[in-house]
Amino acid sequence: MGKVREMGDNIGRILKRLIAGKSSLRRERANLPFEEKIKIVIKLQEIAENMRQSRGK
Amino acid sequence: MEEAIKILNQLRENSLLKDYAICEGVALVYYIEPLLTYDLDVMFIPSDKDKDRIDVLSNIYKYLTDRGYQESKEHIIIGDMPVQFIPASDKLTKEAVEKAREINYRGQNTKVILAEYLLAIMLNTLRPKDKERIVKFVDEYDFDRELLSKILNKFALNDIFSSLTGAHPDNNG
Repeated sequence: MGKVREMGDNIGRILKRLIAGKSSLRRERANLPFEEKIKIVIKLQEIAENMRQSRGK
Repeated sequence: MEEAIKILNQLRENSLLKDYAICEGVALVYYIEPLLTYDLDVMFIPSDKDKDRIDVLSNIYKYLTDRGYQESKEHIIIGDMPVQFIPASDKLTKEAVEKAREINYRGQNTKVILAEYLLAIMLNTLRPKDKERIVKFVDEYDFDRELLSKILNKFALNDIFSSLTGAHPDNNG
């Protein structure tokens, strides 16, 4: 029982770290200069287009 | 996007529209992390001579197609950017354009709808993609709560806001 709880605690800690990392990355990206953000949007459009083409649509 | 902004400013200088501001996806990108959006949506106040026309876009489209820009469905392609023109047709959208934030993009002045008005417009439109964006926007952006509350009260959007976010604009976050 103790081991299961320990494992659960570890997973909880890892998840917490991952979520915290994701939200700090999100904040970082939100604070980029507008020009940089637009460059990312264009990159996202290219990725979406490649995916669309690879699906044959 | 530079070419599109240059042309939008030309349209304003030549009185083909009274004023404009970037709205929807690209405006959202101004405030939060970049997201996938395919076009540049532009909300505009028609010129005095066009404001009562049913086809409020015809002079703008004529100006652009005369200069070689191609139409594509509901867009007109300027440079590498499909641009959609959305007439500001009610008090909320007109006010949003008038009070939009002046910004500089690669040496050119342009305007972006203020975050609080952008949210109000999405609450008013409430398409499925607006619902998704509202939740993300409210979660990620630190709004001017006083201004947001004022706008939501003025345009009777408080209830929709609360039902979607489970919060009141005065105490969200």
